Amino acid sequence: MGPERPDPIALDDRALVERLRRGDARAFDEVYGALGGRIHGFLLRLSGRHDTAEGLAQETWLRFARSATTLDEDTRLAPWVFTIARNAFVSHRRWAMLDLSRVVTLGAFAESAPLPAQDPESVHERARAIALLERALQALPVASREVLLLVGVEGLDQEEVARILGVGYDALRQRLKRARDQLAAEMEKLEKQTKTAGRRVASGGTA
Amino acid sequence: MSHEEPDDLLRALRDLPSPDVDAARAARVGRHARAAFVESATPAPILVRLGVVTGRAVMPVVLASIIGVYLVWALSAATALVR
Repeated sequence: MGPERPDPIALDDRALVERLRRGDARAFDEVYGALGGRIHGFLLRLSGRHDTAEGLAQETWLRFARSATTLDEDTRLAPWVFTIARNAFVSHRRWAMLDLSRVVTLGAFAESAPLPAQDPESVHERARAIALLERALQALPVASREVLLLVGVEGLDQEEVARILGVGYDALRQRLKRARDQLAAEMEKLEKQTKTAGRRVASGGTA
Repeated sequence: MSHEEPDDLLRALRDLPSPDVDAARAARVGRHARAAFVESATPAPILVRLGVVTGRAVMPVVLASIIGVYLVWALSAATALVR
């Protein structure tokens, strides 16, 4: 895992969009600098695979680059780029569903964040909590995961998230509530499994 | 963590650190996209633009002409058969 993330995306959208429309490459650099890592992280958590996330990130930024000079003046940049990224993932997933070999390997990212056994002497509690949360996220259906990533992890406004997902605000609220409940249930399940495994290790060690 | 209220859960999600991203790969993605941006922002030469505009105008005319010729032929063939 990388360093702590900065505060929610703060882009001066109107000025940047104006510069992008004029073809200012430095404006493009600013947008990429502010959102590049977040888009990659979003796609990694959504797809569960490093190689897939990298390909989708490339596709996202190429699409953005080709449309940047024709953006509407009132475009909100972060939601717009997340929309492109999400659409790229949805499109990729449709094709991946036809390829069973890819489906079988989904979840590799979650496996790369192994859940340490509960041992307060050797494992840092925060690292354990993060691993637990990452694994619980990966266990959720995509529809739930994407809403939690956009609202929870990325901190985007819920109305913007509704637009990104192409649903109404009320539907988004319902989906978010369901996803939160699923995540809480999944975390509880994982925690129980970890405790059981920890007890097994402890009893095995003393036997 | 498992006993947190939903709002705490969202806060915990917000505090998740960014996943590791290979800096060299990220830079490569950025370079490719930047090149695409510069290319799309650079106006094409006047002759190319003229060719595109002409192509857009000529193509429908050519298609309509082919369809027209075919319809005339089909009608005359049908008329000849009836006679």
